[in-house]
Amino acid sequence: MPTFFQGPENLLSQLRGYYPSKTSLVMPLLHLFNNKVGYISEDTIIQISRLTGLSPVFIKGVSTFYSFYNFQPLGKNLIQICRNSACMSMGADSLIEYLIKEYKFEPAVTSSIYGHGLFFYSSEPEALSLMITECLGACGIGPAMLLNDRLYGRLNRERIDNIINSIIRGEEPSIDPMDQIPVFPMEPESLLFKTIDCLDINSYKEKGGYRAFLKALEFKPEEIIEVIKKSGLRGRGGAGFPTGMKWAFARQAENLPRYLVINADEGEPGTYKDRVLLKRNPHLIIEGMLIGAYAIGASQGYIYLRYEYPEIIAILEKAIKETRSAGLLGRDISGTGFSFDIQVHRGAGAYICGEETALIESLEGKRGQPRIRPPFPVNRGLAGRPTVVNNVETIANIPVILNIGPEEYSKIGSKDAPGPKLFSVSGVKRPGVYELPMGVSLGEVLHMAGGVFSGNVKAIIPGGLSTPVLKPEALDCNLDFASLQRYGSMLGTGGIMFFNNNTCMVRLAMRAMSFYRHESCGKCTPCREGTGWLENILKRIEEGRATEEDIGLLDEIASNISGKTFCALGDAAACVIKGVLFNFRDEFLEHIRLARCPFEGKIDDKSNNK
Amino acid sequence: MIKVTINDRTVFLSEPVTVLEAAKRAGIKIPTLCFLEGLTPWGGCRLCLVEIERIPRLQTACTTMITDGMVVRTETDEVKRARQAVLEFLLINHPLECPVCDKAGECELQDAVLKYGPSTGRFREGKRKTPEITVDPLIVRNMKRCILCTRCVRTCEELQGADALSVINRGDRSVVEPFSGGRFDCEYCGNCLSACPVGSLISKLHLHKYRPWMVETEEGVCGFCGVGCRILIQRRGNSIIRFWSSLGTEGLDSVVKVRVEEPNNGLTCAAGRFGYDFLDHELRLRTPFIKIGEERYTLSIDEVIKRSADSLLEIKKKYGPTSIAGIAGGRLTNEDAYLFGKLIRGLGSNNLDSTARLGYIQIQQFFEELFGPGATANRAQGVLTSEAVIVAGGDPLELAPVFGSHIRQAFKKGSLVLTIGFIPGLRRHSRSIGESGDSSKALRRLTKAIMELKSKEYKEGIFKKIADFIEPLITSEEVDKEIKEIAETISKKELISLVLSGDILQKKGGIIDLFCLGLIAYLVDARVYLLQEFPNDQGLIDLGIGPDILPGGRDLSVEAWRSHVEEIWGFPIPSQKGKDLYSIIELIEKGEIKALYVAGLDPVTEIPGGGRIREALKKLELLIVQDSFFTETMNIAQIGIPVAVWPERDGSYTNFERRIQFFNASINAGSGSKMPPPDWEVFNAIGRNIGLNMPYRSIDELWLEICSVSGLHKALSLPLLKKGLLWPYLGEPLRHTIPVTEEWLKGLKGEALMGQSSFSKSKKIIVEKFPYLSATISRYSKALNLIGGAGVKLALDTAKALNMDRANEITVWDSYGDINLPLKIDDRVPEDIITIPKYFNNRSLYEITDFSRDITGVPLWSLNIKMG
Repeated sequence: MPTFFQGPENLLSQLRGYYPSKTSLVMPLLHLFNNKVGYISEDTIIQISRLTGLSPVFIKGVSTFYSFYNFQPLGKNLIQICRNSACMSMGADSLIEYLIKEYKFEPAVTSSIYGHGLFFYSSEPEALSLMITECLGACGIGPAMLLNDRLYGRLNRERIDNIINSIIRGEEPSIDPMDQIPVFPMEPESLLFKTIDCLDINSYKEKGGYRAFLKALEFKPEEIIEVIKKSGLRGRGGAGFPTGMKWAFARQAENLPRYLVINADEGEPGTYKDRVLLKRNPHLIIEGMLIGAYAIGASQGYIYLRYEYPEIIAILEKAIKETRSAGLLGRDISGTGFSFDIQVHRGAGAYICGEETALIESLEGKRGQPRIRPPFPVNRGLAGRPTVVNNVETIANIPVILNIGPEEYSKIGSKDAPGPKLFSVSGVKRPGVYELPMGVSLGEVLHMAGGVFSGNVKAIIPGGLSTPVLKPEALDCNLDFASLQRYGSMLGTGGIMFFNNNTCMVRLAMRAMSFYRHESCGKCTPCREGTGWLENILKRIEEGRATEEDIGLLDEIASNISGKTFCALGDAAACVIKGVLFNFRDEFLEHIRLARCPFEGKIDDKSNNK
Repeated sequence: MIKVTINDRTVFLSEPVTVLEAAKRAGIKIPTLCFLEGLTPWGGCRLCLVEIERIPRLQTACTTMITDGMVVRTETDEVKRARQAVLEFLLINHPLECPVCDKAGECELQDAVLKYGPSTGRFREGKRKTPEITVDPLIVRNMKRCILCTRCVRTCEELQGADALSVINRGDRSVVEPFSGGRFDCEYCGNCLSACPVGSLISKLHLHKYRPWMVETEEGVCGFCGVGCRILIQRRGNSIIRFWSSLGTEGLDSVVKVRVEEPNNGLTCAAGRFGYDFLDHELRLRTPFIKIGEERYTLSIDEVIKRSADSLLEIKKKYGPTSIAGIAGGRLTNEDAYLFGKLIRGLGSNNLDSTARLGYIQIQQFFEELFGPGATANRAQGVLTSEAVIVAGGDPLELAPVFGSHIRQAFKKGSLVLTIGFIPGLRRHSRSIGESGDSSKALRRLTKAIMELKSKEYKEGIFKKIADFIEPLITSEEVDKEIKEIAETISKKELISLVLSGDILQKKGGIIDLFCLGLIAYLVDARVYLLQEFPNDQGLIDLGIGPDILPGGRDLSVEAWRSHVEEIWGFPIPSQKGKDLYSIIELIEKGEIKALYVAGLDPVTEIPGGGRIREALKKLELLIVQDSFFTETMNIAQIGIPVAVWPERDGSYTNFERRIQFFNASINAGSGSKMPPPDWEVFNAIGRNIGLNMPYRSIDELWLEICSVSGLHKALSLPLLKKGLLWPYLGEPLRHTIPVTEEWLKGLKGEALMGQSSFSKSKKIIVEKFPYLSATISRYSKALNLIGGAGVKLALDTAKALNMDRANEITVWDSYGDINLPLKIDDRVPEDIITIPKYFNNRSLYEITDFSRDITGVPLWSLNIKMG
């Protein structure tokens, strides 16, 4: 395979001017080579080094930070299958085991010590490689996988057989990929899904699209910020910071230019709402960005899109192009003197890049490790300039607020955090993205979703994997920031995972910990060293090789991580342990007493990242 | 004022600093691992967690800035528990192999665990295992010991600017690697070794050879180049174990600290880190010899001194005093230089010169003429705060590597670094003009652009003369948009530095470059950094080595000054000025100079025109060579005198900042009669033998006299000097300068020099000087020779244009021979440039070169290449 080819120069000229520094070009270039050549070799790195003027070892450091750059040649077809909690609850473990056994996949033997992917080669390595990944953001249609960037959902043995047999014959799989995620708009009137599937600008406009933006242009930026403040909108990414306040801080910061960055690195396991918004309502995001950019005074925006959403790149780029052609994006929009453009920046598989400062580092083309705060991004973010980082769902609420007015908006749902909220629901009979007013109860959601997939509810993770697990007693809890806190958990991203009584909680914790270990950026000691230690102990418990003291040790290690790490990733790992020990300690004791897993679930050794 | 209370101790601070710094000022120690003074805070290790009132979580002291009224506690139970937890986490993968780890005893992790760590471990799983990587010739990398503090990576990036290390992979799979994963193939500054708090990066040169508590540490001054870095010399018995720097020693109780201001901020270069094994090279000269016919006979030091004195007197008697000449190398100390000058003048000759003549002294005189005495005396640190740095002629990373990395730091801080011509070491840290074309042309364009912006300011005094001279040369130059923009940016800056070296003069038209730079420096009000290639070129000038100067740099032709010296010395000094370095060579060729005394220099291999010099020196009746090695020049000498070399001896060097720095003998050169004396003792003894008044028994006594003779050093004393004094010292700062520009202008008028430059239609040859600094001594280091990678480097297109793209070898030739060198295609070299290493396989490029002299006495020289 040729390592050197024409193309990078084209990409460079295409991207020129969109980024504040040349370093940002590293990831687009790596993606280009990763796609065209199939993997990143030292020659590739040297070529990128020449193109960007950066040192080769810096580029190597960047490339090996992310999961999806390959450092070895792979087969023509690549299966990337999810093993995370939601898919696991739908049987991903046994499916992966079946896949490996049935198709005689062997762990990749390679001289490359770089990268994080768990690779397996089939008996026909030329044809097919398998990579076991963390959450693909398709939890509602799990188990899920990507086959050559195409999403396949609701996998079972029959469907997998069908797909792989087609590939081996050299054909495109003919079966329905089942990649449509069900959406349940709010009753009686949807706000965020009103323009769903308006993929072209005209249909979006017909339903009232871009009216909010044009209206906004008639006001002063400060007035827009006031409107957002008044609406009470709080960020939907997990932390729930008041959006209007964030914008105001950025607006006040000098040191121009300012940037607006949309966090579409939806990595929190159990969460897939942003995927639906981006895929089926792209213009709403663009319109939200336009209003946001106008309000804070930004002229360049970025959508940091996670690697796992490949099909969305084309959708977004098409929408951006259309908007540009319509004169709503670019220089001097509608003759107002306001200029704004958007660049889609693709991540490469690193959960930590959902943390806003790590995301900015990654956008700057560096290893995605969080930065020291303060200074906060609103003061010194991308390239040291004032930068607002908003979640996809947050920015989608902006046109809604302007359309219905902040007063109306603030009446929706709970008072401390009003507005519609998207809940990604999985482990149930009717999984999908539910648009519900903030403050709806967990029980109501479960009822709407038709109850758990099978059996009875045993455990609920209410806001993505990083929020402490709850027992069924918590079904009364309302889904808003304050209520969940009272129940010892968090609203998080609104990724609700229900688990039935066949779920082994030790195993769930172990899988969670193997995720945090895999995704820990390695910057700070407690997270880097502690998550792996926790995983090891959990593994011993699950395999029946532990003593009661180990439970105490788990608790202590979690305490030693909690509150001492650089960013929230370590805290999340610790609080998963704390939650599961608090609510399901008996099950841990049971494992130790029996010296085996009472659920008879065998540990899937091959999928364990060692 | 910011008020902070730390552990009930209240401190007031005028500026916002980190909690860590505030605690330090309050005398409270907070343990750290990833913190290293001078690097941007990292906050990764979490060992410095402290409690701050009204903040719910513990905060890292190294990243948290103090605010007024802050109350900090560093020793609460919670803090102690957190420290224990962090250390327990670090130890789960850190091997407990301290008994076999070189770092034990000076390991920050070991110290921290001892003071704050848990007493037992609870980790039952297997530790991470990675093999020790020993493929690099100089550095052993042991990643299982690594605690990922990233101090090495940040040092490499932020301080050295080499970007040769990175953390690879993520999470607990992370390791620190150079690009290849094996060999470092970097600049080998070795600063990462100092930065590493544990035993992950260790020099191979002393691996498993000692325990830290077995070595004695002494503060020293590095003698490899003109920067004069402060280093720590560690020895065991009578051998050097390692050179170390102050970087990273703050956190350790076990290491001697550097107590004086350092020009190097704790950094070293490859030579200053790994080059010390030159002392043991087999070419070290241990016994004196005389040559009769083709035979060499060894004799005692006393005999050779007598013999030298007698021979010199004989020549003087036979041919007169001006038939004798002396050449000093910039490796002589101030003390040596003073006595060498006194000796040669005591013989009645002013034919006395040094390596400062290779451009250093001319440029200094030029700038002193423009801006006054001491114009080039500037603190190295000053470059860090410069808003713009203009670098012309000579790569600072090769001539003064640690200063070069300071320029890179300035760039990283946002300073505009502008290189004129190809400066390889600053390629990623500068904007460049004239990189692959004619750099003189680019410089003239820049000069024109700046003159246009500041048109009114140069119409007076000496500047008018220079401007009038330059203007006709540059009127035809077209100033393009880029240069115009650069000129505009530069002229808006306040603090501007100009960095240059003697190299810019060593080509045709070089003096015009110098005039341009002088004018630019004046117009933008730049401070001037003049790099000296040898450690003590400045000291040689200040102590009176030169055909026209007396100690203190005073003009020899002024009678009052001359008689002042004569009075103390007790003999007359000829009033006629002597011959400069290359004139001496020419007079030897003509047979007018019959005896030459060379000290601290190997002219054949260390200075341009070496090939021709070798032939010339063969004509001498008497050639006395005094050096520490059996050099090429020694090979044709009638008398060879061995001497001790830094760091085997006491003495002082004056670095390029004009900082006088003393150093003590760190080891003994030998024992008993085998111990070669330092240079000054030899001059002293010969002087006594020819009847001069040289009663010195120590350098203390010597300095008593220097301080009375030299106006520059007047009123000084040795204890004062030992503090490391910067210009203008405490003597009389003013000294007479020679109106060189007048003289040069006169000479230049109507000369063929105009409009010429070294750049022809063919290719430009650039000589790479690193890592062999100060020539003789570092090239004898086996370790530095292991770095490798040397060869002729050029871009593929250049090679194609020369029809050399298939060649493996290239022949470099000039009038006095040729050298074959391996050819390496390297696309980082700009088009039309060919870089050639100065030393290769123990041969020097200078050995084959001819020279011509320009009006300033600088040697002009060139090289040719052909297919190998």
